[in-house]
Amino acid sequence: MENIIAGIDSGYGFAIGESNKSNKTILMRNYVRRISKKESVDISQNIKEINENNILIKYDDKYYICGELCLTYYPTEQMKLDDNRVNNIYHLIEILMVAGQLSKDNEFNLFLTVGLPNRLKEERQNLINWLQNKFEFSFLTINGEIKKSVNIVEVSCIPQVYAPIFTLPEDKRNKYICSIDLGHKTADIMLINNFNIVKQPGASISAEGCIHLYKLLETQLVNKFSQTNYKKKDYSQILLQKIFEKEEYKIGDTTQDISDILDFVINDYLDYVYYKVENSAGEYLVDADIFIASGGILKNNTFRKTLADKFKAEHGKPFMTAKDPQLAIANGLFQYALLQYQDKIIDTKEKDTDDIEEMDEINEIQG
Amino acid sequence: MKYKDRIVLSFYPDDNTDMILLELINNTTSKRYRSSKIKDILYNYFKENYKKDFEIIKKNIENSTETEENSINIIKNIKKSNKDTINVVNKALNDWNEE
Repeated sequence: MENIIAGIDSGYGFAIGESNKSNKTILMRNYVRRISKKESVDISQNIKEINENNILIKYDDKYYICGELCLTYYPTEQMKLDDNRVNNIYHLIEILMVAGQLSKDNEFNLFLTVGLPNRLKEERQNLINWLQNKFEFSFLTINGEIKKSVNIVEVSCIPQVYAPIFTLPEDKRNKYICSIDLGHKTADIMLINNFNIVKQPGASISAEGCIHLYKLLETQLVNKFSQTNYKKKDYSQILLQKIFEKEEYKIGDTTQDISDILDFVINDYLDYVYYKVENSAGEYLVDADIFIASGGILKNNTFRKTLADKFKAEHGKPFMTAKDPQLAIANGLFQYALLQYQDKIIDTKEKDTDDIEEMDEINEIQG
Repeated sequence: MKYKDRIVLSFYPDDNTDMILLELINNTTSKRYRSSKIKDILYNYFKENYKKDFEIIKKNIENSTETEENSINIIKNIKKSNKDTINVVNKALNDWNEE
């Protein structure tokens, strides 16, 4: 049985995984719903191939519909990951839906690195003990069950916000780094000096993630349309996410002009993040060599550029993001796993770290 | 060790040349070392009669062996450096976890 090395970022909003056997990063929205056997039989008739948009899992004789497929059949489904991650079936399915796609093999040994937000640090060992196990499950398709047996031999767990330092070029990893991870539920900030986590009070910060922004976006949308025929009391999580990601809100076929709202919520969250960092860790930032930021929200060009400009104006240091900032944590976890488990496989796939970019260069690249 | 190529020699009883060669080889070495004996003869023959080609090929092969050794050393050094890094990282993470 083959040994596989992987990093999986199992967050509140997304599950993302990368291994030495996968040709690409696996990315899925973290929607999981338990369904009946009959529903699973019906839905599986439309699944011709296994991919991120077509994951239906049978585990322990129960059936789970995952990711985009879940939203297709159950558009108002809620995200279910809470802080009780150990022994949480939805968290396990989130990990298995990605792990199963990390190799075409039906059976494999997995050497895995996962991450946790700072506030769940105490859960680290319990999470490791729970995941270090053999998991047998199936992906369901029109052609029947594709059985998977994933033997998780070793697990390591590091702070999510620590992981992106491994996406930096090797000569920059041991610098004094301010890492900012803007996740869906949590925003973590950590100062790391030559791999050591700075422990002074205020140097590690847990704040609200993009949920902060979505709450405000919902309030603004409810207010804007309260006097119209389009008035709504609330908006689903996925609708708010998609409005923000696409920077577009359609009612029927009509695109609504919400640019003022988007501008307002982006600037509000920018200020929230910037002042959280400055007010808590400002005194230590004078020593920082590099700022590195990760999280899907940084795919928004305005947000990324403005945040970079704010920190550069204040500290005059490079502000770096991965080309796809949403994948930075998973990529960092995978890079850590390659270092940690390099002896477990003959050839390790060293991911090219050239896909990190400094914000100074963005204008040049885009120009 | 895995061989790169293999040549099988067949000696036919109705071919006098084959039989002469076979008997000479068997008389000058034990069965187990016949292939080494044949290689020695070929080596000396090419060294004497194809001097120029022999030297060029010899040089190329020595260089490529050195390059291969260099690659092996580079990989060894990378693995050593990775181990050093992960030891520093894990010590830092343990300090953080035990806090």
